[in-house]
Amino acid sequence: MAERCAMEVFPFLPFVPDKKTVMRRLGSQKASLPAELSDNIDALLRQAESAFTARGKAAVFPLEHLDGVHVSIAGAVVESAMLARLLEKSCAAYVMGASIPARDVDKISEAMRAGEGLKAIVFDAYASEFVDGALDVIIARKNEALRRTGQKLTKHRFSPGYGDLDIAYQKVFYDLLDMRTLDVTINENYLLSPEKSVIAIAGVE
Amino acid sequence: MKTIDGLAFLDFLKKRIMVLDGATGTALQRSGMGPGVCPELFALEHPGILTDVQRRYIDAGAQAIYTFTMGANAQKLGEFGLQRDVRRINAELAALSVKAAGTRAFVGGDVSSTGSFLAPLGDLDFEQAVDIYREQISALAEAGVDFIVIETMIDIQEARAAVIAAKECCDLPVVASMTFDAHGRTLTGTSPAAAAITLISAGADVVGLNCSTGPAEMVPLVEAMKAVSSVPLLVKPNAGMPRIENGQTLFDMSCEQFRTYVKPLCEAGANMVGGCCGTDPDYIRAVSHEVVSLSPVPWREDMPAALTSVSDEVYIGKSFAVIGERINPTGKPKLKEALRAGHFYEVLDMALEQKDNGAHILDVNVGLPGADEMQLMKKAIEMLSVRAKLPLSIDSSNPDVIEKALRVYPGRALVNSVSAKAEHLKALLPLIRRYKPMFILLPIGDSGIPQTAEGRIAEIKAAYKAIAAAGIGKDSILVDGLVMAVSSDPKAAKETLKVVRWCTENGFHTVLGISNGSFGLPERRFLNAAYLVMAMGCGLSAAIMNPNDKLMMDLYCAAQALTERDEGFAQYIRRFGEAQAPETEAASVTDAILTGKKKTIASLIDAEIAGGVTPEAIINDMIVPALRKVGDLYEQRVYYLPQLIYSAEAAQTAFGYLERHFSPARSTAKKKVVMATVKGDIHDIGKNLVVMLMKNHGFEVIDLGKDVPAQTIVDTAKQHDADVIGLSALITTTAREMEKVVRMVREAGLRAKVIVGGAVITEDYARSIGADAYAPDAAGAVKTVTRLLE
Repeated sequence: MAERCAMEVFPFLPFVPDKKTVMRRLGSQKASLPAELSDNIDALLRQAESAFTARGKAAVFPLEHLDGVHVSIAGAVVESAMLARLLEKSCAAYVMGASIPARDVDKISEAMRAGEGLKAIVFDAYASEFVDGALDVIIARKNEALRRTGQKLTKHRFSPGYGDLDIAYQKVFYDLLDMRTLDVTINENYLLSPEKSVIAIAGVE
Repeated sequence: MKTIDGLAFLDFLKKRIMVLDGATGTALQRSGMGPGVCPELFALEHPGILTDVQRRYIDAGAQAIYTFTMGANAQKLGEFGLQRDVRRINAELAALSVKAAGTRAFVGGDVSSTGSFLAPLGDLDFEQAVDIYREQISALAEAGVDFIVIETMIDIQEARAAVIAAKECCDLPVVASMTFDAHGRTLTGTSPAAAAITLISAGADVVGLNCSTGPAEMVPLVEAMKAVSSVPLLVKPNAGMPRIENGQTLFDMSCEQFRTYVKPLCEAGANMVGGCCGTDPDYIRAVSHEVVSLSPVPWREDMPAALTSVSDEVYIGKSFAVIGERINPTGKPKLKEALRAGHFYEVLDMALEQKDNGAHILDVNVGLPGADEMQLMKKAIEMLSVRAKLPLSIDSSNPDVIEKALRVYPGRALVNSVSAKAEHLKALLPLIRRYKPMFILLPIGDSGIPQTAEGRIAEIKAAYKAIAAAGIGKDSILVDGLVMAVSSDPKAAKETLKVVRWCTENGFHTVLGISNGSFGLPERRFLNAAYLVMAMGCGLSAAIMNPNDKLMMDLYCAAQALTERDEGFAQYIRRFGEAQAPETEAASVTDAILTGKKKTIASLIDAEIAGGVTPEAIINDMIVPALRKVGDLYEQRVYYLPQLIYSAEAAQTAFGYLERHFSPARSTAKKKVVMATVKGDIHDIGKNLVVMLMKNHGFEVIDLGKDVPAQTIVDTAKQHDADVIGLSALITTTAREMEKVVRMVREAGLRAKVIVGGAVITEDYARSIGADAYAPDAAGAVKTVTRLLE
């Protein structure tokens, strides 16, 4: 089963980041904020819940070769000892991408332009947590599907730009998922646009 | 029909707690089923292993076992090329279980997820999912199972599709069981109570929960489901919370520990108890021994007066419900145009605005002459159910549209409306019975709208006779008192209020379309608000109204507090208490900046000016020192980013107010800063914060945005004779662009100092590329630039 490569498409990924994680991203998860500010942040988080959507794609790809340093996924050779270690017990790779559409991401800069700095930083942190959480939903869905066959995804996932997995490999996974169909573009520095877009790889084991 | 101890399946649950089996898949894995194989095929190839496990469960005391067909739907079998063998595989596996159970246990035909999300979360259409389940369930039913069990469901809409399929293809009892995470929600965010209400309205005869967590975590979830369930409850916990060790999923709870939770679960309302992952026949034996001394807790007779969205429930009667009326094309040309073009952003914006302003339910009317109302309604429901997440009121006069809407709506909806006309009741009551929505009953009979309260009450009584005969209780009804224009009949409001009062006294929930009453009169909002308050005094449960009307919402909130529907005045205080607080808290302009109280800043500035303080002094002696202090507190980690920005916003408000009203003269010419996120980088939140703080500190900032070429930065700095160039980059690859900018600035002979910052930038890196300074964050950037220019 792991050898098949059917693309899964998720037009709306349901996820609601909790306040704690958003506040951690704002660097103040343990801080006791004044009640009025905290209430304002709560109100902005409620607004954010309606303001942002995320969509995604994912697919299982065969692992053709794996040594301590190299991983070959669907014909593409990736050099990363850390990714190789993550996938060492895996029979296939699960590549996933999620993105918040530009129309929604623009609400962050619109808030900033309107002089609503607090709204902008809360929306920014929320959106970052949201798109990350969207990947968690994809993973949970996949784990649910794999469970009956005694398989599961690796506990951790890995993204280009982290550890020794060069960000240049973002293009490899971008192409594998054909992220253009989610209206996501990639630039010469391998950055995804809209800004709140992520790609990650987990193993099927 | 099979009986155990002389009792058929549902009768058994009324008399006794039923013991279910435990995990089967893990038992097969222990018997040699390797990872990645098709479990159903393995079971068919090794029938002895499966039936041995099932017999051991029955020997341990299980009174019901599940067929090993959890993944035997076309979608999942298709992963192994077996999509054409659905009927055969289900029939053969069910036959094994039926034989193993004999007359000793009921057999549940086991159904679970397809592995795909349904639209709009995924690409599987609702009706396709129903078809997939229908194929599997009909095969199980034909093979002789005693009930259908839909289990381990993580998405309420997929569970609904399975329940609807089961009800459409067999007469067997249907059990539907969801999986909730440690936070008490399904993966797609549904609460236990909302799940129970939704599944019962879809037709489930038993609802419940299984897997994911252990029995301790499930007790409060069972309580939450029991409170709203008019059917028995099932619970099948794991043997404790799962733990991953060396890549293996482990469960630590012993069967003795597991047994100690059986009583709390049953006392909370569980009527069927078994085990899920990590359990084996020893656990079921322990459950069986424990339930002997326990009696089943009965379930409520009728469904509660509650609506559900995909995530939560809204109760009618406990507190007043505002039904947002805005999504209706009548008199809204922009909405009409958008709907005709198939665009739903207008609908979405209206929904979110109403939600933000306090609506609890959204009325959806997309009826347009010449448009396909059914398609429009389906699309509107799909979008609103995942975006607005409020229960919807399906507003249509077309029974076919109502049926389609009820079928695809992923919760328990409100139908707006059903009249008391014989023909209308005949057309709609079967739908109400089938999908169990709440509905608005119009007391309009075959002879038209009764003008008097007595006439309307007679229609309500007559209609309720037919409704009750169809097995539908009062808690499913919202009676519309019928608001008529007082301009054409001055007694109209009085008659309507009489109807509301009568309904309240006779146990009916009520609703009014408030704004109709003021038709034809000036300043309608006053009449509307007064009407609402008077009706709430008569016990009105809900109103279809405009939540964007502040007067109406303020008065509803106050009336709710006065009619004992706002416990502890919590909602009243939340709405009005906060608005008052800042007025008294900020003692000075400095204090207002320090605490970010921008609402009071104008009045504080006015007070200073009235006291003889100049605008310049307010800036130089109050605002700027306050901002410096905020920066210091941020540096000392006393303040965090939200406070820093909150204060910056207050300062921005203060500067704006001073400039608009007093035109203060700044003491010195503004220093110029050119800010940019470098070429190739698209991240700009950090740079934007720097811009905001710089402006507050009196700098003139030319913000070039993100992904800015080096040449543009240099040219702009040259053109404005900038004092400072601020560069931002988030990642290492784009950080290299900074070096290029610095080099070009030097080559161009510009006098501007270059300051750099961003997630991957360090002081060493800044030095290595020849930048003049490095700033770790927005507050640091202001300090550094100030120091550079001293």
